[in-house]
Amino acid sequence: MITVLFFASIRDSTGIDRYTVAYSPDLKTVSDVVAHCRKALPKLDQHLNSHAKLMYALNQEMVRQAAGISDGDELALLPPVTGG
Amino acid sequence: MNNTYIHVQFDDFDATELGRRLTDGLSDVGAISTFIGVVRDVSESHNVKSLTLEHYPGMTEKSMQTIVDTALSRWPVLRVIAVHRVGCLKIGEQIVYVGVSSQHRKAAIEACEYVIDQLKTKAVIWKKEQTTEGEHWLLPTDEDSKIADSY
Repeated sequence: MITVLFFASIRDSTGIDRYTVAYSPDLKTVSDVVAHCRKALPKLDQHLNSHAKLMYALNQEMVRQAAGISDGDELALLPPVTGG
Repeated sequence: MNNTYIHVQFDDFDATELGRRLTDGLSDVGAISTFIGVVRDVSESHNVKSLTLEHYPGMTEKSMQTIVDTALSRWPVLRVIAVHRVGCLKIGEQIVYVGVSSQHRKAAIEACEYVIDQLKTKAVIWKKEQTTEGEHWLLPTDEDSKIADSY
């Protein structure tokens, strides 16, 4: 099982703060999981089509889309941050 | 005492108490530089009513710790503190505190500026503005990104 977390504008657009994806060997990378979520969640797809900039955190470490995924991982989709 | 202190909190912070942490037990502090960010009622063309800040528990602290650790390694400073508030904040409320102590002023001032500049674009925090025209998530400005990348 892979838990995908949505924050800020992504959570507002999808109306949910997390989505669980059943692990399958086909899901090899962050990019695969995101594509899977976009298919399952049209609102996420719409949001990402109009908001290009996105960062990924895998088990709370920033990663690139090509990073490998394992069963039990927590993947967070992070819109551009604005601290301070 | 640890030479860094990071905290994310809903409650307000006491700048005087945090300032004490910069010198506690040290006799070689010659300079303290602090920055406090406050919610203002103007932003671009909007009239702001309040600001809601969201974080990712664990990840936000980690992102702040990286910034503070970098400041500590790049400048000859003694202690570095960063405290960030989250939740719904009204006009005039304190948002963020950065404090740096050092032996000499230049290092404290520069490191303090570095930390707040980096927090703007690298701390894992999101801001949503509630204005008289509705609410919207803020994006980092080009200016903020340019400043953060200039170090």
